[in-house]
Amino acid sequence: MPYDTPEGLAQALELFIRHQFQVPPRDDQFTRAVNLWEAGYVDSIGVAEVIAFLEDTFAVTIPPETLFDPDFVHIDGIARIVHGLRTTSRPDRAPSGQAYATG
Amino acid sequence: MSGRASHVVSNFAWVGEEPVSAIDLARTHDAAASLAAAMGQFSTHHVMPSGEHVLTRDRLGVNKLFFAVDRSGRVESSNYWVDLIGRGFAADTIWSIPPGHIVRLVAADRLLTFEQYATLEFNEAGPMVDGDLSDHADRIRTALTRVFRAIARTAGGRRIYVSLSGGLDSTTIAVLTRQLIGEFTAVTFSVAGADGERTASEDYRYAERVAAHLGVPFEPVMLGAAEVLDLVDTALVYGQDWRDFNVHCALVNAAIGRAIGDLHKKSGSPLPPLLLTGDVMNELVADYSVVAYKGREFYRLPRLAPGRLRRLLVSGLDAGDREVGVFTHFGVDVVQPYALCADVYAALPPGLFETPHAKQQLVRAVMGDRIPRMVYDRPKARAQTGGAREVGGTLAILIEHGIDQRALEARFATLYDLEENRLGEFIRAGHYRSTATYPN
Repeated sequence: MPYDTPEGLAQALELFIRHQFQVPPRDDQFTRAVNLWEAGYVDSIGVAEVIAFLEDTFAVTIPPETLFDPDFVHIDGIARIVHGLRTTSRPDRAPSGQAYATG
Repeated sequence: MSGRASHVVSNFAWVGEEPVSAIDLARTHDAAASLAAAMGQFSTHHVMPSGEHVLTRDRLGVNKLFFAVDRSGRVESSNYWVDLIGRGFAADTIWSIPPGHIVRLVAADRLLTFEQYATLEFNEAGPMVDGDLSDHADRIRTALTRVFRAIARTAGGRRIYVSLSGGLDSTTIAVLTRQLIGEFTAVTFSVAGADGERTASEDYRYAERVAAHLGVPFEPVMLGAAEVLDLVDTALVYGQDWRDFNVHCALVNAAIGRAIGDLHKKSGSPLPPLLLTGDVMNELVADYSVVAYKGREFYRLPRLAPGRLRRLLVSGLDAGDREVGVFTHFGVDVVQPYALCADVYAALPPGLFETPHAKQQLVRAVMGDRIPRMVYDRPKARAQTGGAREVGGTLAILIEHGIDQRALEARFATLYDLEENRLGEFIRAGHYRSTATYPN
């Protein structure tokens, strides 16, 4: 599955989380919509591992404010955000049009 | 939390070795370029004649800065999150300025702009090759010399203190302070015995020898368990974090900060004390490991390669105020020299960290015989565990008294008027919550 769609990103992220955090294959509660942090699938240390995976695999930088996006809690939401980071330039997010330097 | 008075954290900024005002840099026409060209630890908030609020924070986020906006458009900021709660803002209306950012707010237009003016570039490329270490050591030595000369120009007339554990990082700071700034007092934390017995910890013994080697006064700070426990709320509130590693460090620093504050009052000096510490070095070289105590593991780390881990650890300096926030509460200004030259450490190849005794190798290449041999030979120790051979310190005291990670979270939530299950909305992956859009 290519990484140029949210679906492809979500699939890769789901595989990573299942493997990294040892989610049982028959865990019915684990879905792409479940809140990963509140449901305990990923703990506070694991969040950092998820971020490293996203950045290294999808060649994006996860800005700190993104971590607090209401969507950055479940696989589908994270995939949408990463897809957006891959396809949208950051200046669009600044209302004044001021450049967001990426360093 | 209302009614708790906080200090304002001091800013330190330099262009070259020349001290400058951080707020003046932030007020220049091209604030991003001005701030990027400076070295410092600062956070600023000023209001333009147009009514625009401009908030900035240093590249690593050493100084913290929080802001809140209410429905009427009132914008306030503080170095301390609890100050804003005390001023009547709800916890979920409080946001942090991310490291290396300028945030501009125009409340009348409900407009927020978000500009990253500086990042720290890490060398993620590769292995160590012959000659690499020597070249990097030269650059680090030059950078540290520049940093200490700059601090010396800021320090004029102040009493200087160094937080000294007798390990590589703080001993390097002590040696360079003695050489490039001058006289200072070495301050070392140690836990007293259960009956108040003055049993010297490993840190105490090493630090005392380093101080003697440098010919500077040595001031041990020895606290019993009860005294440490009395500082837990201070560590949580002014350390602005509930994660055990940072709380355990903040406890050590609270004890040291209080002692320096007391010493300083007796000195009669009209200028605030200036403390130099070896903090941030461990993040810059990913020199952390899990600590086992009574069958449990503490200070677990993300499972990442060392080169990748250090980038994460450094970015995670955003959240947690174990040094600046805590020391400032006791009226002590603190400067972290390693943070001021983080770029030369970030340039180290990740291959270095995969070699045994990487930090010893690096420090030896940088400092050579200026560091006493016993310090190179000493096994790794952490101030909050008291020594390398046996785990003690603030970690042991808290665990022995039932104050584990869960208890710290519960107490933090109480002190900050937060729901415990919402803590993760305020610190996540080492970052305080921030926003790139106007807060609703």
